[in-house]
Amino acid sequence: MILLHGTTRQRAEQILAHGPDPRFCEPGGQATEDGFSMYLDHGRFLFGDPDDYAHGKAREFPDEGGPVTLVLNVPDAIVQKAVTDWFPLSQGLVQFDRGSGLEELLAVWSQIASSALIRSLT
Amino acid sequence: MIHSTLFADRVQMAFQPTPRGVVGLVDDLLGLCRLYQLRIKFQDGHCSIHRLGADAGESLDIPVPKSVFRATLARIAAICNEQHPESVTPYRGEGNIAVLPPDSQKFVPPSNCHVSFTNTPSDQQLEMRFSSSSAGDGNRFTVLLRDKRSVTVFGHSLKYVQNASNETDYGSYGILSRTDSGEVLVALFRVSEVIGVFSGDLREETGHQMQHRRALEKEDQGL
Repeated sequence: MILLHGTTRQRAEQILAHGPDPRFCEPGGQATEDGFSMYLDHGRFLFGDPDDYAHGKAREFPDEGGPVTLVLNVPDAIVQKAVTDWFPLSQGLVQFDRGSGLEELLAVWSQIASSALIRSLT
Repeated sequence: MIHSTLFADRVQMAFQPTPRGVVGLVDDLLGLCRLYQLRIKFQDGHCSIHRLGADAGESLDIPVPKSVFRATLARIAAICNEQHPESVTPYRGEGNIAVLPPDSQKFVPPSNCHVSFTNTPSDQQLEMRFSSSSAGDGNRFTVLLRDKRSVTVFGHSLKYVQNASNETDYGSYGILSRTDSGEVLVALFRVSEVIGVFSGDLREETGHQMQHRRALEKEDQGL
């Protein structure tokens, strides 16, 4: 299943190299346990467009290489692990949390990263 | 108190997971905004929900995954931008959201809810205040007060009026009437003294007392 994550180029490269870090700490921020959220590539974008997230992060952190969309092909079985009553796929949002698909996602990350794309947004 | 129990029950019901997911939670919270002014703050794995204009007894803590509340705030931001393009960022903002009544309450006119939110990795909170509503097909509002009195006021719309000069005052509901020279405020009720504001007429055939009692038991007819 093709999933999208809007972010900055620097963060996208870090994610690809090391996998999503649920305790990622933004500059000046505190480490939190936020999981990792992605969108189905065909939408629905009921929680905001991933491109808008990318532009927003790039505006807040202008030294991080600009806005990009990380495009990942995640096995359906792993996406299904993230499906809960709160996050049905019909919403278009895939939320990987500890105990809800995150561990499985990290376990196959190198395979997912090998076919990933970083799409520039201008 | 019936009112406190209803408040807690309704909020807890909104936070029950359903197949409608986070989108359903947001729809239910916006529906509650027609009845209650809410401040919701996420901390240590739960949402602290405080009813503005009420005493401390009318607040409650509900355990919720952080990702659920962050998605809730993201959905609020998305609705703001759908209705008013580029009005908020995903991280913070404020604006008005037009809220349609649920299908079961077609007689209730649409209302506006003023929201303000922060959704950053370190801070997640949401404040929702009823903003305004039209009188629908009728031209009168019935206001039920906490001391069990009811007041009928003629007007075409209902509006939340904030008291900017006093932070401890949670504002008032104002009823507006159209005149040739514009809108005039014809009545003002403090939020802390109001149980609910009902649009339209109370029907004679069901009886004023019955309507009053049913309204007290079932506040979702209000606003």
